[in-house]
Amino acid sequence: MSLLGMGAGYLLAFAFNKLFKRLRWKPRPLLIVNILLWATLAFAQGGGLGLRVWEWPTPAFIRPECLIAGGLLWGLGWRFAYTPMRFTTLIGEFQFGLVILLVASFLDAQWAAKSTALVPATLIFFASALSGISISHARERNSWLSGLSLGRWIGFLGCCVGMILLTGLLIGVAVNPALLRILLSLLAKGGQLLLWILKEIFEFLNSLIPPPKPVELPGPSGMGQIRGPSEAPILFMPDWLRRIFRIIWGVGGLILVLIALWQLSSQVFHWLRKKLGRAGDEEVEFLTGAFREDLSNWLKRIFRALRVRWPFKEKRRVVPGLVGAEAVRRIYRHLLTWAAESGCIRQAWQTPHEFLQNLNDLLPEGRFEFTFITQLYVQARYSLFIPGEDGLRQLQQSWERIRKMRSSPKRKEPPSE
Amino acid sequence: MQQPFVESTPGEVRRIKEAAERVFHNVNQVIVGKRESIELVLIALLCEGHVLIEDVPGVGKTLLAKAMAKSLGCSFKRIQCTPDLLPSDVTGIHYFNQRTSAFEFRPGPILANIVLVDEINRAMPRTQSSLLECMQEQQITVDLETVSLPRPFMILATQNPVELEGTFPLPEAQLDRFLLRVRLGYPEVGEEEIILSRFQGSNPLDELSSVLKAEEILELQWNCRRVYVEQSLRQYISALTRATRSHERIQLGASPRASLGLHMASQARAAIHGRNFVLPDDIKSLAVSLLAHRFLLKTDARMKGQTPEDIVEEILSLIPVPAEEAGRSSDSTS
Repeated sequence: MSLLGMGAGYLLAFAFNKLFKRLRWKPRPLLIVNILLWATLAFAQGGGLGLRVWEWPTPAFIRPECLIAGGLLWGLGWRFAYTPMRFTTLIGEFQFGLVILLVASFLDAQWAAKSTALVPATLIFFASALSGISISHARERNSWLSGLSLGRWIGFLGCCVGMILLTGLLIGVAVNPALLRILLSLLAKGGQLLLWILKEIFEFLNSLIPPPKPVELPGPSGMGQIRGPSEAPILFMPDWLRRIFRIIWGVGGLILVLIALWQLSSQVFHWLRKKLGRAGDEEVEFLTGAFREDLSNWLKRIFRALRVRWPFKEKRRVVPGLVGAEAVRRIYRHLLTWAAESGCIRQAWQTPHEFLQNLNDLLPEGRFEFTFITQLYVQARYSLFIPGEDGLRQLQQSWERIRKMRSSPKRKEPPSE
Repeated sequence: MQQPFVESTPGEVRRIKEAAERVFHNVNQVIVGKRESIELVLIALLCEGHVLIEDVPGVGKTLLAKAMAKSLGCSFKRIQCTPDLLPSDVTGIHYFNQRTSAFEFRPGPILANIVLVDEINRAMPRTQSSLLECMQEQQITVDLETVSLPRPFMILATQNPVELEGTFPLPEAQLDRFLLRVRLGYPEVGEEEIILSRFQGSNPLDELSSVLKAEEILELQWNCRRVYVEQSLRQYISALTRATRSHERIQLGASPRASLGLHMASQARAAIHGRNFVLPDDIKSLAVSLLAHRFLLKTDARMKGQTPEDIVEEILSLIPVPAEEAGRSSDSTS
């Protein structure tokens, strides 16, 4: 059970807290109920907290860690229940979940836990995340499911799910102990070959250096008694210090691995974001920002509970790409891309107002929308004006109307230079 | 202590727009159509600049200058340039007053708010040069005495480009001091008939009254300077003037004064159009009137019949406007 059990805890926490959210419970009773529910689940799975809580496949494994991990997952499920179900938020959550999954895989490999539940958990995670994102996108009525890119999105979803299943299947079928042994032996042979080549090179280099002249050593009478190094150690490190260093070394390594994973997933999502941004007009928050924000919020809550003042300066959270003027510029970029795809390219020397004429010629029925978007864009681009929520909503609606109109744009030749 | 810079508010800009509309309406009682030319003169006024009205005879150069001067409730003087006009006829002289037994300064026609310098290219170069100091520094120096000119101060000069006999082309230094060169052109279809009917009974110029006071103009000038110009648009202005310096068919490019002028004139145009921020359209629409008279073409370009206006248009079609591009944002102007 183990990992799947923890996953179930996450889902249960989400489901229960969704219900509690509707009931509008106050924070303290909510906390107590959550702790009770989590403890009940732990008892139900382990048959008692003191006996076999969260049974891990390796019995020697330290159980409190599993207990903490289970609690954390419960907390995350709880947190997720209170997260607004928006497309952009869900993409952020997806990144967050992916990192947790990577960490779990890493720990599983490090501790040689060989958890059989990891593959189904991964599959469940991807399937739920991708469907959740699709549903939220569809609910916001600007979905690929209702637009021209329907095929692209369905294809993307299908490819992802298919690829995950196929990879899981291939790994399950092909990776067996015999194959691993062959791979390891090949690796070892390669290493030995490399070492032999290095050794040969060093021996050759050594042969180029002339041998030193023999030096006559003074007689035993002229020399004092030479002490071997083992007799007088230069630095003695006590065991406890060595243990501390080992822990620091281990923690440092773990942190480095986590940073690497974090960076890797951030890069992957940055790329994904750009791809998605081209397909639609969505911007998602970078993992770094989301994770930092979550962590600081959690720490702040602890500080508040302890009635200690938060020692750092409060910073206003700026979600990249979603701030007023930037959102307007983004939509205008999409408009330009759309126009370029329809054969109407803005020349570098054209001002937005000059290009507006071309847009009106391209799609006369969109004249009002083009004018509105261009007006708002020039205000956002060349002045200190920051569009409000209403303005942004209207802009989004205008862009949506153009996207609906674009299904049959009248193709025209690009403007002559 | 330097005053902190604060962008002009929409209310201030609205006042500029309303004032401009009043002037348009007033001048339009005399000048039929030509809104763009009137706007250019008004822009120059708001930037404390000077205008060179250049066109063939009889299109209303002097009339426009006089109508503008009458619309602005300021002191107005006229200098009719002739080859025998002397610098002292422009600036004024010190004369000996026998009653007081002392030298006294008798100011010349330049000491007025609006000065019409008619047929400027008919004056001798030394007389033309007497305008250099007052155009740039808004002061004159007579017999070691420096006199400040009243504010607002604007020179509206006219010249006829086709006549060469008995004329002296304006030196580059003087041309550079004119913020804008305005060309009126012939009236459009139907406009000429309106002119005929309007001037049938009497001269409408006589009935023209002022619609703007000097203090009001000073306030509008101050508000114009606070119109917001985005950083990339400054780079765009700079790129345009730099392009005139490196152009293969230009012998002498536009000066930094041209960049400054384009910056200020764009602010004034934006304000006249009711905006408290400048658009690239403002810069582009002013570029020809502001740059074309400031640089010298090479001989071969002149021989090929190319005009400075053509070169400015060419530069405008080469320099990218700072705006978004499909798929990515573009902030810089190379």
